[in-house]
This record gives sequence, structure tokens and C-alpha cells, in this order.
Amino acid sequence: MGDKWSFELKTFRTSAKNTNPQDTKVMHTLQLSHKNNETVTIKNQSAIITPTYVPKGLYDNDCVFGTPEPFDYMLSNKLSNIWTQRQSIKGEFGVSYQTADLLIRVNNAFSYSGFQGLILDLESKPSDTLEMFQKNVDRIRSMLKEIGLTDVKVSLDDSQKVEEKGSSLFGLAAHYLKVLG
Amino acid sequence: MTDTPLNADPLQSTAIADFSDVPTQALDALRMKLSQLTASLSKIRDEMSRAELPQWYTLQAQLTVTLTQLSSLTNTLDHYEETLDSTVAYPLPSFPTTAHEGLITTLMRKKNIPEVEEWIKDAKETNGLDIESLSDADIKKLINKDKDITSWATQCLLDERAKHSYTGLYTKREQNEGSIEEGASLYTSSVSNVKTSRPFSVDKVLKFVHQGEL
Amino acid sequence: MVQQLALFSAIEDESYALCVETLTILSSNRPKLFANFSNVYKPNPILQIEKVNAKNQLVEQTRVKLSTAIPLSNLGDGAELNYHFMEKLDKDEIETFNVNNFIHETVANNRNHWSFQISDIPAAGNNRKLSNQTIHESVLQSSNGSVSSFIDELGYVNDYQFITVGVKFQFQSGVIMEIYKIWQVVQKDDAVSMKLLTKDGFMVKAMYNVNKSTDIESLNSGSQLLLKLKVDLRDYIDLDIPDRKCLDTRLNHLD
Repeated sequence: MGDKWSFELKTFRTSAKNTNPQDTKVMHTLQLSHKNNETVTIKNQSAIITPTYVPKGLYDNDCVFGTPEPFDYMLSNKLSNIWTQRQSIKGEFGVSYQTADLLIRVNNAFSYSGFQGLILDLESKPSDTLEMFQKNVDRIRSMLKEIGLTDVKVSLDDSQKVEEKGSSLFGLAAHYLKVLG
Repeated sequence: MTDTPLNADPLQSTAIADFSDVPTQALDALRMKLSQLTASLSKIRDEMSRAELPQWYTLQAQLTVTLTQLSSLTNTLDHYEETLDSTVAYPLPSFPTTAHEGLITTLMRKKNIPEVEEWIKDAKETNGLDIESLSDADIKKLINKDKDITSWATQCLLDERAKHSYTGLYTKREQNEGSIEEGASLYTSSVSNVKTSRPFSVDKVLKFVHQGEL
Repeated sequence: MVQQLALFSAIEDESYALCVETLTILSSNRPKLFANFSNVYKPNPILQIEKVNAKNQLVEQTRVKLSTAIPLSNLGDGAELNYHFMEKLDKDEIETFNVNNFIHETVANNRNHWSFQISDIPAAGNNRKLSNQTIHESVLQSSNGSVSSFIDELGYVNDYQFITVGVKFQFQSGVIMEIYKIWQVVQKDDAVSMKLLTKDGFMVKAMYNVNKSTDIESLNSGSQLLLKLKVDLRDYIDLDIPDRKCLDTRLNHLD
């Protein structure tokens, strides 16, 4: 049994009219406690990360004066004429398990309207190949099927991800979006 | 002082005393100096007995005043030495001796009370000198020695003060030795009249920063 | 979020050296060179943005400023820089700085950290002694796509850009004083040029930043420190309150 973890996914909708017809009009912010509680903000294919620390260069060069806020603060407090919060899905007191093959994080997802479902975040060992990982995922899926859980939404990496912090967080967030959306 | 009774009968003395030879000037001067001195000394004693001791500069000022007054008193005594030495006080026949016997003995007493005898004894012992056995010449030498030490101490203080510079950048010694470069501007603490001015409008620039308007 | 108390002034180019010496002694710290590039965005006029939010509260359209540091190595073309560098900056161009390259590199490079700031108009008041402005801040780094494409998705478009270069003094008390110059950055087609706005001199800013607006104690002590600094520097530099309307980042404000 491992550390406790939590996450929060907020969904904002733009109230601006005259947007591009192809626009989804939706922006999401996601915070994962096991990713340093950084905030990932995604709209369409654009994503930014709000770190929880202030890079010294920004401080020294007068770009930042104090303690920065996570980006959802900006959306809710200063940009509320453009963005309205529609939903918030939270998982607190999640548990993580380290098995021989995977790091499994489990959490209950709740929104204002109640229980949304169980979230399973599966992470492979860094040395695993894509095939090994997919095999492990399939094993979990069949286990779930055996205990009667058939209504399952899955989103997983389709390629080997290089340990590049920035892009992997976007990818991870995209999975959360896909299964929770 | 002479008193001339109008009749020789002591029991009927309505003699008018002649006080013209009383050294009133000397006594008055002494009295005034003594009262000043006692006042200063009581003041110091009171200050020192308080829970919160006075500041050192207050104490030093008071001490200086007291010493000055003491010096003034001894000068006065010295000045009127002859007069006072040849003065003898005695009660007139009209003094009611029977009624106030205690008072007359106290007033005429020349011997010091034991407490004062102790103080004087202490002072002499602390001094370490045997005044009785010293000749006038010896005493004079001792006084001069004291004066020498005082002038030496004063000179020490002045010398030390000259070694330090309390204003400016050079000590008196350095200035006298001429070890300062020619033309080196001596620091004088004065009010500077350097001023800055604004070559552009602060508000205008800030307006651009916040609104993009030029 | 930060409550920023500030006073401003300006000095001429000739006063720079003495001013640096004076502030070095006053602050007990050496001057630190700083440089940043600021990109100000405004709400996309095409989008019809409401004047109220979902709770029917009035929310005025406001500009958003993104700033990133200009590394001193870029600024001085590799040379070691110190505060004397400012003495050479009295023209529209900064000789050792290729603004064109910098901007293109920054746009292409997604690793830069950008600060994201929205400022409220400074507090009003009849007996104001200082400018008191709330600045809401966040820090952004691109995770997918570029920061500018994200800002576009946010509903904002480019308004104007500028560069700030100067020296800053950190006082022991927490007060910060800066002497700096500002250049407007103009992009026409693909050509980038700069225009010096603080002509013949430097902007002077004295500020005190308080992290919590509820920290009355710090706000009070910060005010006292700034006002004391103003008194200390009087007859040399006159620190003053700027017109609060000039620090207003709202769009189409009617005043």
C-alpha cells in the first residue's frame, strides 16, 4: 500500500458568442497530487502547466512579485466573464499500490451530483515496452470483467513516451479527460 | 565684643548687647555655601538611593556642581580665615541657661559627634598621610603633586582626542604631517544640493505599460 | 496574488551613476541587472464577451500580461554584464541584443516559463500617500502546443509588447527600488524594431509587495517604510503617486 493521492478536474465553458464553429468551447484544468500538484490547463490541443514553484528567473527579472496562483484561480476569479465553471470532479484519499508489473492508483471520483465512478491510473515500469504494458493493462481489464465491472472507459498511451515532463503531463491529463468526460 | 552693663547688677541685666563686631559677612557667606553644599549632597544621596539609578551624565553633572561648591566653600573659609580664627562665641548673661541647658551645651560644643569623628578618621586613614608629622613644605609638595597628576591626565585626554577624527576624513596628525594628497577634497558634512529632474512624464510611460497607448 | 504598494519618479541619464551609488549605500546591496520581455493581450474583439458572469456580477474586460525573462547572455551577447551596461542604453536599439532572434526563438521554444498577470486598478482615496494595486499572478509553461496558441484558445489576442531593462536594489527591510528603461517593441510583417520610451532618463520605482491582502500589519509597515524612503530621498529624487488611471488595465474604460 502506498501514498494517498488526490485529483481535481474542473470544466469551464466559454460564455463568449461568435466562437469558431469547430470550437469545443470547453476548457479543463486538472491537478494531480502525485504530479507535484501542478495544474494542467487544456483546451482543444493546447495545454499549459502552472507549476507550484516560482522559477527564480521570473522573480529576479520582475515578471512575478509574489506567490502565484494555480490557473483555475484566474479562470474563476478574473476571467469569469469569459469562462464559467460547469463541473468539478474530485477524488480525495486515493490509494496507490505497487505490484510487480504496475503502479496502480485507485480513487473514487465525485462531482456535485454524487459518485461518478472508480478511477484506476495504471503506470508501467520505466523499463517496460509498450507491448508489456498493454498486456498488463489487458490483464487488469479482464480482472475487472471477472468481478462484473463491464462499464469501463479506457484511455491509454499508444506510443512509448520519453521521460519528458512537459508532454507526458499533457498526455496523462488527456487520458483523465477522456475517461471522466 | 564688649558689653557695658548699665548697672553692675547681674540679676537685673537689661543690658543691650553690641553685635557690631560679629563677623556677619563671613558667617553669612559660610552659611550660604554650606547650605548649597548640603543641598547638593542630599540630592545626590537621594538619587543614588532610588530604585532606578540616574543616567551617568546626570550624576556627573551633579558631582561637578558639588565639587565646585566644595571648592567655593574652602575658598570662603580661606578668605575669612583670620576673622574666623579670632572669633569666639559665648552666651550673653540674658540667655536662659537653666531653662535651656541642653541647648546651650549643644550650641557651644566644639567637639565633633562620634559619627563625624569616624568620618574624619576614615578620611585621614584613606589618605595615607600623617598630617601632624608633615611640615608645611611637605604638604605643599603633596598638593603640587596632585596638581601635576591632574594636568597630566588632562594632557593625556587631549592627546588621545587629537589622534581621532570626529568629522572629516583625516586626523589632526595626518593633516599636520601633510600626508594627504594635494587637492584631495576634504569631506565636509554639508547638505548636498544635487537634485534629479524628470526628463519624461512618468504617467505617460505608465499609461503605455498598462494600456498600450502612446 | 500580491498587494503592491508603490511610488514612482524619474531621473535623467546624467544622474544614473550617483543614483546607483546612493541606492547601493541605502539598501546595503549591490544593484542587480534585470531584463524582461512583456506581451500584453486583450480580449478577442470578435468574441462577444459578456459584461457579467454567470452569477450576474459585473466583470470588466481586462488586459492580460505575459512576461518572460531575457537572459543576460542574450542581452549582452555573451559578455559579462553589470550595472554600467545601462549607461550605454540611450538609443532605440540595444546594440548587443538581437530582438528579432530573441522573439522568434521564444516563440519557437516551448520551454520558457511565462508569468501571467492581471492587475486591478489601484485603490482610490482622497488622502492617498501610496499607490496600492492588487496584481493577480500565475506562472505558465507550455505542455502541448505553444503558449500563444493557448492564449488564443483562452480568448485573447495580441495588443502590444515592450522590453524592460534596469537595475534593482533589494533593501533589508523588504522594500525594492528599481531604475529602468522601457522600449516599445514593434512587429511589422516579419521585422522587429524597438523604440525607447523613457527618453533621456530612467524610470524610478519603489515598491513593497505583500502576499496576503488580509495582512494589515505588513501593509502598514510597508507603507511606513516607503514613506520613510520618500522622506530620506526628498530633495534628491521625488518619489510620488502616479495617476491611478494610468495603471488601469481595463479595456474601453470610460473615465
